[in-house]
Amino acid sequence: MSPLNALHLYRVRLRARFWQECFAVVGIAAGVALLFASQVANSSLQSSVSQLSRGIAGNATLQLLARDPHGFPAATLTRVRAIPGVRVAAPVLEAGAQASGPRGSSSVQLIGADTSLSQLGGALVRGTQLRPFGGIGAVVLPAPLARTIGVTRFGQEALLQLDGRTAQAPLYSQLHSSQIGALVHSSVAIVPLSFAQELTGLGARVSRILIQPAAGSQPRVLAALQRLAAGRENVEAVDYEERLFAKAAAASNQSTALFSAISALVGFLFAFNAVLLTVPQRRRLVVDLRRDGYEPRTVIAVLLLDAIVLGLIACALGLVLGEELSIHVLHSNPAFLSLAFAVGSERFVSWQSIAFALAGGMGAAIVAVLTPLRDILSRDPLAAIGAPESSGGGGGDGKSTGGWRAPAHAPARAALAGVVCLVAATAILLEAPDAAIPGMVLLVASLLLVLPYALALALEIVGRLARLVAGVVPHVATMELGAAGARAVAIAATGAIAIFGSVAIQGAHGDLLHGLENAARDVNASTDVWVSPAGSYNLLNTTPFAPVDRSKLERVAGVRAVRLYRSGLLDYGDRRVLVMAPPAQARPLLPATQLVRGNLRRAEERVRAGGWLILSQAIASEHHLHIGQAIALPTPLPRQMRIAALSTNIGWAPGAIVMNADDYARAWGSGDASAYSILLNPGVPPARAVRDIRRALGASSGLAVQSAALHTLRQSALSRQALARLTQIATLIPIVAVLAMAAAMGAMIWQRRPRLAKLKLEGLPRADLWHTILLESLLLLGVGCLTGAIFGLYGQQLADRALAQTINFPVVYSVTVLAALSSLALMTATALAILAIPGWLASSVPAALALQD
Amino acid sequence: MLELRNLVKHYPAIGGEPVRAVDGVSLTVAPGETVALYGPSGSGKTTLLLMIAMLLAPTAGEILIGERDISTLSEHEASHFRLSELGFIRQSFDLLPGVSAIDNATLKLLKTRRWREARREIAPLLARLGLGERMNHRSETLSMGERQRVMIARALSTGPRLLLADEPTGSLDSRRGREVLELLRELSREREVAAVIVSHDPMAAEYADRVLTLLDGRLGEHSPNHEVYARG
Repeated sequence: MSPLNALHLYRVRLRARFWQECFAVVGIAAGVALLFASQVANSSLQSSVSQLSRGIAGNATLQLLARDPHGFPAATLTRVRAIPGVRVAAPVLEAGAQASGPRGSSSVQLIGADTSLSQLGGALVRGTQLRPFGGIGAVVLPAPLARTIGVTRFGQEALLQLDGRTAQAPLYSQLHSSQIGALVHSSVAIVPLSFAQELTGLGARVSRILIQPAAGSQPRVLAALQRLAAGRENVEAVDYEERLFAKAAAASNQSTALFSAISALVGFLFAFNAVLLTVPQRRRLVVDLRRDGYEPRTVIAVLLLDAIVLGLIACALGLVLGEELSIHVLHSNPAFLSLAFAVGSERFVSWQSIAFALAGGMGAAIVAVLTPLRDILSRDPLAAIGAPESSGGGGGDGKSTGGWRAPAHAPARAALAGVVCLVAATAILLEAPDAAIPGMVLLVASLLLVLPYALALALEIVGRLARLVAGVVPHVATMELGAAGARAVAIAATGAIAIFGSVAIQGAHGDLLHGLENAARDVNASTDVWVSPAGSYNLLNTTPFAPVDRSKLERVAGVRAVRLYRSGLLDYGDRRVLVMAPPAQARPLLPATQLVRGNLRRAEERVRAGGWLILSQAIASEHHLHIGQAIALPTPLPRQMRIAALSTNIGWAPGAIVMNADDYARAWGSGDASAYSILLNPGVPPARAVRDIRRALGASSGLAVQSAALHTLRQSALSRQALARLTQIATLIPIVAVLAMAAAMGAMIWQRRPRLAKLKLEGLPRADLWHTILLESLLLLGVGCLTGAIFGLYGQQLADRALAQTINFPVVYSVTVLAALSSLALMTATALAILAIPGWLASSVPAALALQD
Repeated sequence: MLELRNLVKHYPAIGGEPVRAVDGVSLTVAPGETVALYGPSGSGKTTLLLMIAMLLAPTAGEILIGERDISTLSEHEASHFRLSELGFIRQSFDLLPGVSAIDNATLKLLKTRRWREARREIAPLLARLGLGERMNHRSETLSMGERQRVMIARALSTGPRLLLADEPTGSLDSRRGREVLELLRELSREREVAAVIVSHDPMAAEYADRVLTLLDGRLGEHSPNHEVYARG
């Protein structure tokens, strides 16, 4: 049959099954949308960092990077430019800042550069004014950011707060997407280098120099830069920031990838269920074509054309829906990571995301449309509709033991394979928690393999219970479900996977959030009030500032002690580590809940004495370090320190180091503070003390004063924001699953109307038929959701252990049985309530329909 | 006993005379009697069966089962009538797939009896129908003749007073068709069931006590000819 004729046949047949095909299209589209949206959300943050990094660096391939937040002398630039083989060397000064205007404020990355940066051709600075305008420093802002803070007119001043300083910066221009593309969504403020140096108070210093070597000179330049750095600065490739971000975001990316996969599976099952609706018509077509003498090859080609048309239309619709979903529901939220990286809010749609979603949609369409493949290839042309040519039948192997059909061998064999997968997942849980993703995949496989048996077992149990009562409803329900086969399992699997994902995600999410909140509370437990540079970018107190006159603070009524707290970010290997350096007198120095290995009392004594630190276990494992061993820290003044104990990551994904404030000052070669930790006399209300301290500091100090309780709340809020995407996915999956199950079951019920008519003909009243439908639905949804919930609780333990052992988060383990049960009940009840309507309508089928075959 | 008194079913037609699908049919079938009803396609056979089974309301006339006129039953009462007083056998075998013969046969009994009781009750009838060795086999493993016998068992399971059979031999070869017709006649006599068999199969006449023909909605005495036996 020629493709044109096959297309004509498709068009002719479409008239008769238009609505079923529409439903199948919607089903596949929903799956594709879910898949696409989660993929886009997942890849946008990493792409944002990469784009911004490349937008600044352009053609540069190397960089000399300051370890000290104060940067290094700008004079180094002259020495770099003097290195043979250096084509362009561009100085950059970067700092976190808070930009404010009449309409609001936003955390931004201040980028100070001179005209040499433009020579590198980076998209962000190409054509940007990097020369002081008439000798006056001015700022260039991306248009969305300018609108957010309300600074949009030339010359209008934005308030910049950074490093405990406050300054006004007039707007020079806005950058639009026509100039810088997707980078327009970056939170950056670009200023001339000299103006950045003035704003930060750093004088003639820069934080990095970007270098473009001449062709073939890269190794020579690299070696020369390393000699120049002499172990006090870092020499790295320009993609270093991307690598650091990838490591920092690994936990979030892995968990989102996993749950994207679960979304994909739910979407695939939705699509598969939807396409199964059209299988009966396709089976009849197969019979017609085979009976008319067409070869199986031609039949497959005709069906493949069906799948391609169906898949293409559905994928196009799915991508449009997915685009909307990713814009309005599944936002990318950098949250905590924005405290250490310049991350924008732009969405990046990669070709991989589109290809993955398309492959999923087309795959579902092809697999489902080719369901009767075995029958097509059969020698019996009527095999596809299960009508044997010879009616002799009566083989002796179809004996049914004990009435209702017992669990057949196939489900039992699958269940056995499922148990093997479960054992493998348990081995991963116990022995290799870092392999959480393979563990989850095994768990999902186990769930899918066990489900047919669970369903058969449930039918057997209900069948046996039904024998004890008079009434046709449970008997017919179990008989019908027993006969429903793949369709029933596919529907139950949709619910099972959705509940599995929802329970595992929400459980692990709750445990992680609980742990992060504990960490925030513990870290803030050693102080009553914090004084630190203002701005939401400084929530971890990592911005240094020149110490103020401490006596001003000590004189405030109710203040018992003022202690200097130091903290910063240190690039160690591929990790941007949080270094916390509380004053030696702080109690506790490390909260007991964060200790993983070692003796807490002895470790605190050692850290207080100096020369010792507490390190996150994940970093120790990565570098094969153990307690008592010396570690060389790549600080501005490199130092050897010994490991006193191992801790969690204290809520910072890349890991944390705790040392005392004096050791920090020596390692960074600076007496700057990061915050003042203020202790109050007993009974002094923190709110009053905060007010008095603000007054003592004066309005122009650039320092923020807040109680430890408020600081804890803000950190917890940021944790919740960071995990928001998981919450969104965990909410979205059950919604889609409920719709998928209700739609698939509704359609299945509707298709059963002729069978219901036959039961009516036997005298079964409408109410009995309706109750039968509801019982079938309850059984199917209940078994699917219950199995999913049980596996979900197991998945939660797997995810918890991975988060705690691999990424070192301070997870609080729990088994959220109640939450799982409520999810299960809510989902089952919602789907059942939806199904009650088509069930009632289907049960009103006229019995006369039974005679029309 | 089944008695039809001047039964009429007219369907309205746009811009013309109403279609007289059944036009004043009167018929009495005594308990234990088997009536074979022939007629070409469109003669009103199915409409007549639908009305007797209370699946279609007559335009006029009465349908009496014993002394009771069932033509005015409510939907619920009609269901109850079909469940307990009527057995319906069709050409297509509406057995539940994956379910044993005996459980398929007990479907109607389960409304009022427990599973074990229902099986106990139906087993002798299945044995009587020659399915004693096959009653625990799943429906899809049964031959067409065996499936039809399961349908007969189901139809007779509740001890109906009336048996309607719509093309009961339509899917069977002549040997199995004969077996089924023989069984139907025997069982309706034994159980004193009034049986109406609608068929195109000339063989059905051999097993009927009376043979009638329906032509253009009117009942007449049977006169064998090809037009009547011909399938529509």
